[in-house]
Amino acid sequence: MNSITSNTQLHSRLAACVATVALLTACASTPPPKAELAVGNAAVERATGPAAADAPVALALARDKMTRANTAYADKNYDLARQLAEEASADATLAEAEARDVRSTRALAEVREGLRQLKDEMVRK
Amino acid sequence: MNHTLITSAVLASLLLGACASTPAPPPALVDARASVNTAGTNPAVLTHAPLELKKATDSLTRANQMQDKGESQAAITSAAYVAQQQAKTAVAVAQAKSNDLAITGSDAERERARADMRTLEAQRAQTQTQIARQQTATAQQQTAVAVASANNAQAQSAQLMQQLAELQATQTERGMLVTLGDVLFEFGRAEVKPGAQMSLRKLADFLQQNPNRRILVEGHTDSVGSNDANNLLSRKRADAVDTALVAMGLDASRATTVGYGEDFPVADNLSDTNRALNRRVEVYISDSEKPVQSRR
Repeated sequence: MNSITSNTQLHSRLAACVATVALLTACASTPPPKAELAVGNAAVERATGPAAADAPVALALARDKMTRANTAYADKNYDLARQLAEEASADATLAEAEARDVRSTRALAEVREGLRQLKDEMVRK
Repeated sequence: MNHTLITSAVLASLLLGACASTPAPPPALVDARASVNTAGTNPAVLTHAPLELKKATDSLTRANQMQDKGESQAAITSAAYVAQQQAKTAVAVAQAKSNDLAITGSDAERERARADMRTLEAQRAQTQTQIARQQTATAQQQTAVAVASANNAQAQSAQLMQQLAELQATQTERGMLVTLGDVLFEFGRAEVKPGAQMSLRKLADFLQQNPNRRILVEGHTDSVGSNDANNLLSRKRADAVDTALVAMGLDASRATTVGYGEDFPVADNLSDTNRALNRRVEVYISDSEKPVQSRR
């Protein structure tokens, strides 16, 4: 082997090693997603009251996902735990928003009906 | 050495390959891009849920960056899912706030309608009150008239009673009866004695004050003498009373005279007293404008 071939070989080998190490390092150093899990649990808790009656399906989805997040965390599957926790958080927030939408739609319908009846009464008089 | 080189080369090419050719975005990312775009062009969302929309767009940006960096399908899918849920949240929040505004608007409308109705009712109540007042006023007037009328009638009635009492009238089925007794005539004659003037005056006054009354003057005798003579005498006495009353102002058309002779005694003819009772002139006063009913 001449010196040029050696240099090329050396560079590719170095690059491959760095890349591999980087890859391995990336996998090994995911910290436990404590914050994400806490946020997720809190979000589901918060949504439980208001959403229970008016958006039960969305709430159930959030709760189920959070259960899986907690399991993944216990299994030290931190990437999965974080993803599930973030998704559950979004699901819980959506459940709350849906419940609010359902209630407001219902309330608006009642108010409109009341107004209609009032106007009918006026016309009759 | 060849093995190490090949391994590193393969590894490098894999890495380079991964970096160089970006794989197609997972379906979740495609959906998320569409959902966030829809939310971002929804005017209600822009007005009522801008913060929620920003969260969704930020999450989508993160997912897109992960896609560009070639991160794992699972990671990109998860990030995209979060973005999509957040986009849906923005829409739901916008809808809820929009409804709330509409409720407030309806509340205002309802209050206006109620106010209108109250005004209507107030006007109606006022009209009713006015009508009621008018009715009360009318009723009061009517009552006043009725009272005055009743008082008047009562006064008249009282006066009437007094007059009739002074005339010593009695009520019969044919009307009030004033009896002019025998003492008011000369025996067997038809001239009215001066002593009768007062009674006749009272009768004339009464008839003047009660202009709608009519009289029937009946002459009666006792049974002494012939029927013909008694008929004639009784008729003459009735006429004498009539003449006297007319002289006192009575309209002749209001009086009718008749002589019944001895046909209708009021007592038996067996004593002087009773015969005197039978010798009488009866003046019947009608209760109304209709003339007094005659005996036969």
